[in-house]
Amino acid sequence: MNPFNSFSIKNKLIAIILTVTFLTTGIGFALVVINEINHMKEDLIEKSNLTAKMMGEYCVAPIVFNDVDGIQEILKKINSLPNVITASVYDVNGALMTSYRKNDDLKIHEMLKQNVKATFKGDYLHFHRSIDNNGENIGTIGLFVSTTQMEKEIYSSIQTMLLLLACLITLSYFLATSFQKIISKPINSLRMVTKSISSSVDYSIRATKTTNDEIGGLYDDFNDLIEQIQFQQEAKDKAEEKLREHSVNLENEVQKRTIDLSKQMEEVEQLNQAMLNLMEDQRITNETLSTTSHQLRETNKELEAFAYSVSHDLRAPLRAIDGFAEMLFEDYGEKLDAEGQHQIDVIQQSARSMGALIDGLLKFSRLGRKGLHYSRIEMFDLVKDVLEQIKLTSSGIKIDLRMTDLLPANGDRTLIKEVLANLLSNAVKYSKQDDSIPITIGSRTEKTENVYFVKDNGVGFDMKYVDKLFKVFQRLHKPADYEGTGIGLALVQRIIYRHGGRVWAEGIVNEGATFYFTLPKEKDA
Amino acid sequence: MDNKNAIEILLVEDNPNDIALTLRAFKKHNLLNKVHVVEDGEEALEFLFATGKYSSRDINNNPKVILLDLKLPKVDGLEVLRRVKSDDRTKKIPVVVLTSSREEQDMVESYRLGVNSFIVKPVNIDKFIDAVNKLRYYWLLLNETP
Repeated sequence: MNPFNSFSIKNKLIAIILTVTFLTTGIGFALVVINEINHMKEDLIEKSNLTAKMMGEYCVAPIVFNDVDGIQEILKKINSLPNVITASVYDVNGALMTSYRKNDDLKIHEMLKQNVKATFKGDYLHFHRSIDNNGENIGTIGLFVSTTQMEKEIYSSIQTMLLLLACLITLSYFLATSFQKIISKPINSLRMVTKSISSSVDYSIRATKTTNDEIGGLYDDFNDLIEQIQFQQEAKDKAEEKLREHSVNLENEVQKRTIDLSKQMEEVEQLNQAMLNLMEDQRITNETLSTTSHQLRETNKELEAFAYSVSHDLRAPLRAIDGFAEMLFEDYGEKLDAEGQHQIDVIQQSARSMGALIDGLLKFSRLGRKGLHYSRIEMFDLVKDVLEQIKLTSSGIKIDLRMTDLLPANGDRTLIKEVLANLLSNAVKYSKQDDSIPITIGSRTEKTENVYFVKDNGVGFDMKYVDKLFKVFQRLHKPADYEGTGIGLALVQRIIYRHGGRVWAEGIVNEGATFYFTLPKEKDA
Repeated sequence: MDNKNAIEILLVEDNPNDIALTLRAFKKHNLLNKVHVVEDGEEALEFLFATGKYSSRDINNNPKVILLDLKLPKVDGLEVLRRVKSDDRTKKIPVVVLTSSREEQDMVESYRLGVNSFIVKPVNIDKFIDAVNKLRYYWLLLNETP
């Protein structure tokens, strides 16, 4: 790096000014000195020429007369000329006639060539001039002129110049030192402002402009720049402030949320505990359930065994009662009076009704175990089948069936047939035995199920006993009035429930009853 | 007819009341003298295969039909049925199962073992007599078959 670059502006300015001053005045002075030297040399040559001319004119006569001494006498006159050291006179052929030397050490040199009049050699000026007499060259005069004096003057002149130069440089230095402030001061002061801003980070500080030149422009630019920075700084500060506010808000929010969260966690924990408790309860319940289920299975097995036993063992004695009563009647009936015969009849009837009860019970209990075999059931056809059976078993009955197209159902055909058989035989059973029994069967569709109903105009029932209708062994009529086991409707309800349907009844005493049942649409189909 | 004393019906029944009732029903239809009664499954097998106390019986002189109660002492009815239907000498004899219940298991198992008919003993003696009467179908069928 150029060491000049590390100078301060002040020193640079001073250095520039001094260099310029030195160079310009130095060159000027040098030219002046050179000019002076040339003048001095010309002057010396001119003086020497005059001396030589004068002495030559004086020597014309002696030369013409070849008077060497006369010449010598004239030449001695150089003693009054301090600069002229030697004077010589040559004849027309160039041969030395005589010479005079102030100092014997000096040699008389060969005459210079004709065309060279003057030449500086060493500390001397060699000068030659022809001596003419009426326009005719009669000889030559030569002079050795000391230049010492001239040199002294030159040195003196140079010294003066140098002194002057030194003075000028000094003056120039002071002026430069003084004037450089015009430029360096505002720059330095700008620098101070910059330093002050950067150390205090206060962007409201402005540099005060003192000039209208480029530096003044620099001040303006600087102030503009600082203003922009200040503006940005303020914006940044505002943003930071906002950010800080947000940060604080965020912290508060986070804290709040954390508290909420921990509350929620607590709740979750509590819920978890509750859940665990529930699960424990559930487990215990499950265990109980599993035990219960096991017990239930056992009970079912026992029930099955019981049902089997009932069907075999209870029916056998009933058969014997009925059979032997029959035998009694056949073998000894004649010996009995009407009362005795009636009593046998009662025994048989009772045995048969107990048989029917057992059959009903067995059927009812089997329903709990039997799996359902779903299929599409054409209800219309099924009703017709059932009616045929009823007509077969109860001879002499006329039924006035009012049936529109029934909706097909989805269920276990055997069981649904049982339902219809029960409802229809009930309708027949509880109707007045006139010429024909009116029974209405219908259906309608609802959102998820089909509703079927069987309506009769029979004895009906009191709605306050409606709850008893579907219970096992519950009857609303005396056996003497209407036969029955009290199982039929319980069976109907059980079958419909197992299909996921509902069953209910409406009745008015002596006006009739309507039994409704529903079957879900498309169950497992 | 190979033998006038040939047993036409083998009744396998342990309940004396049911025996009495059944025999009375047969009597009404003039079948009584051709019925032989055994009271448990073991005796039924001895009779059919001419073993034990029936070893002197001619095994080729098979009954025309077997009426078999299912619930029997010693060897039960289903086992008797199985033995009858798995022996070449006896498997052609029609077997009618008499039972007091409609318990499905019994029915299914009986049919699986090759039973020819199934009569549920009704409580009503008249119905039972009707049912026994229907056995005449087998009787007639076998009489007509050489």
